[in-house]
Amino acid sequence: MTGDDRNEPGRPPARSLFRRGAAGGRLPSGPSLTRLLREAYASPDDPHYWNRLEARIMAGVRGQTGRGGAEGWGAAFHAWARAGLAAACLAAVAGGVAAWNSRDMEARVAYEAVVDVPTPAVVQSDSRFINVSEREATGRYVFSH
Amino acid sequence: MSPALALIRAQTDPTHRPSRARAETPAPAAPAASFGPLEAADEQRLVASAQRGDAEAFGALVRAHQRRAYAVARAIVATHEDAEDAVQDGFLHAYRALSRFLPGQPFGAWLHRIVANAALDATRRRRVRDADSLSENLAAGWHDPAESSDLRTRLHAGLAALTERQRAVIVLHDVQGFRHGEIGRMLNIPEGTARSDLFHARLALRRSLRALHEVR
Repeated sequence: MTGDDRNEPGRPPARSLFRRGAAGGRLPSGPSLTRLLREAYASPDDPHYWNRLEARIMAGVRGQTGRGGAEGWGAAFHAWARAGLAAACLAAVAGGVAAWNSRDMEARVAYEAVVDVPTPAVVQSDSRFINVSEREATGRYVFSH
Repeated sequence: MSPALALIRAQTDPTHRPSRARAETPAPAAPAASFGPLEAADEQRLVASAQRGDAEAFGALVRAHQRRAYAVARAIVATHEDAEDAVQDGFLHAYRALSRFLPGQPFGAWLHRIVANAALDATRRRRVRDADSLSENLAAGWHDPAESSDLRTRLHAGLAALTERQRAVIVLHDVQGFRHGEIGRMLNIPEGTARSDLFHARLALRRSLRALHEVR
């Protein structure tokens, strides 16, 4: 048997099944060993066999299609999976931006709530003069001048 | 009529010999990519149709590749029945995975890897199920070999003494005509390992058969 990478199917069989080996014993020659192997591993020759095998395979394929194979919901799912993934990514980004803005707004409101305290004096002065009677007001005016 | 469907018709028409004759050529030593340039284009069209859900196109692919797929599976598994199951599983896996097949790559090589994986799975299942009957069934060919029974017995014994991988490598190379690199990709082993397995398998088989000759 040669060390060639590719077999040589057209090569005529050797005259003898055996050749002399390196150790002195007689080893079967390459082509004869190949011939024996080919006979042992021969594929079925009957065309009906291959028709039956094809029918069996295609029955399996059709069964798979019925259960949602390449033509069923699986294919539809695969077709929409990419668009769905893109939409989900967009929604996640939009959600993130909205959450960030909302957090920013809350922080600003909280800051303003702490910093912009209304001046109590104005309120007090207002409240002081709201309920004073006219007589009291006249008295205060007189005393003050 | 689309080119893909025309090809299907051509393949199912018994009077149309060229491509069908090529598809039905006995497996031994046929090149791995058995399609010529034009046929490769037709094959790509069939694959594209099958990817769009055309079961008839996939049927044409099955018809064109089942013999070669069987040969790959048969090299790996122990029995004809396991090879049949592996071929069917392989085609079903291929059908499910069609959306992942990239246009332009050789469909045959892609399919053979899938079928080889299905066959390796079948071998593992068989090993677990009934390891004892493995050697009985080895190389039980579809046809009885014309050789004398003692020669066949010796060959079977020699094949049984090989590791599963060595046996697959020698059959894929010497019987089916695949290259070392193709075998490596199918069996998920480096090319160098395939070469080494082939060398050791040939040596072991020759030694098994030599003993027979010495008896004679």
